[in-house]
Amino acid sequence: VERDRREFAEFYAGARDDCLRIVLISVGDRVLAEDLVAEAFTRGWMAWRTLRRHPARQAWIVRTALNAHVSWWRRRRREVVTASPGGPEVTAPGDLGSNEPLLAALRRLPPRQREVITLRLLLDLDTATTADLLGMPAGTVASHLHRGLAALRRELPSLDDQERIR
Amino acid sequence: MNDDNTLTAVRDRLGRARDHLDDVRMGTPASTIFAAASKRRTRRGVTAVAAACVAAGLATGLALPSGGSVRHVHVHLAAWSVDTSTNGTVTFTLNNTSRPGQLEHTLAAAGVPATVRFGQICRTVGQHDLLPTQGFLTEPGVSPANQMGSVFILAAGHHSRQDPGRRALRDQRGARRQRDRRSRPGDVGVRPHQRGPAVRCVGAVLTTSARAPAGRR
Repeated sequence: VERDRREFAEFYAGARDDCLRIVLISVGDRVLAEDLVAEAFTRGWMAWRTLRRHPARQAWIVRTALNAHVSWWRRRRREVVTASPGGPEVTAPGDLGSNEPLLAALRRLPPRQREVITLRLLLDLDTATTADLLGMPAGTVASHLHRGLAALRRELPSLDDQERIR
Repeated sequence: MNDDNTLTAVRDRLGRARDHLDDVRMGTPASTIFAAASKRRTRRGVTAVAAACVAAGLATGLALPSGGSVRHVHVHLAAWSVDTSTNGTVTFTLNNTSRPGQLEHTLAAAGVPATVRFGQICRTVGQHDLLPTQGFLTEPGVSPANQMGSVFILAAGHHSRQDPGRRALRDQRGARRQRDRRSRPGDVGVRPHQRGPAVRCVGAVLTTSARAPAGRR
């Protein structure tokens, strides 16, 4: 058990910041992203006997955090809005340079497309590994990627224009 | 712009956005992760134990043939049928006297452990007389109006001590009384009781010509 703890602590120390940044890009809220990543690592520690042998542990954490985000969003959708303040507020993710329109478009994508884009482009996973991680056929991954890119492509010309102005 | 170009462009821009977040660091220490997992495991353990207790209780309740928990039984044969309903009533319909062993088994499954004897009437506890093949049967000591009975259902418990040869009489909680007798001859309703005050033989109408005595309705 002690050895497992040590191994997990090493994994956590090495992967937590990167996972947080990737999840932050995907959800756009700093506090929420940190909560989701902490939740994902908690689940990861509870399933450490499986996760320690996983070929893409960091991707597993990111995917779990994004799934937790979907669950969080569903719970929040059912909550009753009250007049008093104190509800969840979106905290700025930080300086994202000139890419904010692209990231906003990424966050508007359906969850599956967003997951595929995140795993394929931010974590540089290949199609087969992404398909294995998401539990879907490789063709479905390619389909989600194609549709996601088609949606993001519409944002790219405006970004190019911005850069030319600079 | 095709997919490959878009993919390269988006990857490049997402990479740059990620680089801009270099100062973003996870503030949660590993000890918090371990503590949260430990707390969750404890909670799950308590939930599992509670669920096991509930399941054991349910299993015990189902295993005991008496009380409110009986299985749903719907058996329809040409000779007879047995149906349980959600309000605890067991409806038994008899068309002809055949397959008594299967009837016993079916009634036991419906929560009415009973001995089925065709062609006999219960005179008193432990005493059963042979009768003609048709008619109506009553409780012990009660003379039927028309002694052409050919079936009775003997509730469990009391009689099992009197007659050790009887089968399927394991219900120690008491009898199931005949109830809800329908107007149509041949139908008998049986409602299980938590603890019957007395064990009785109850009867069933066999033919359309037979009628239950007025006092028993």
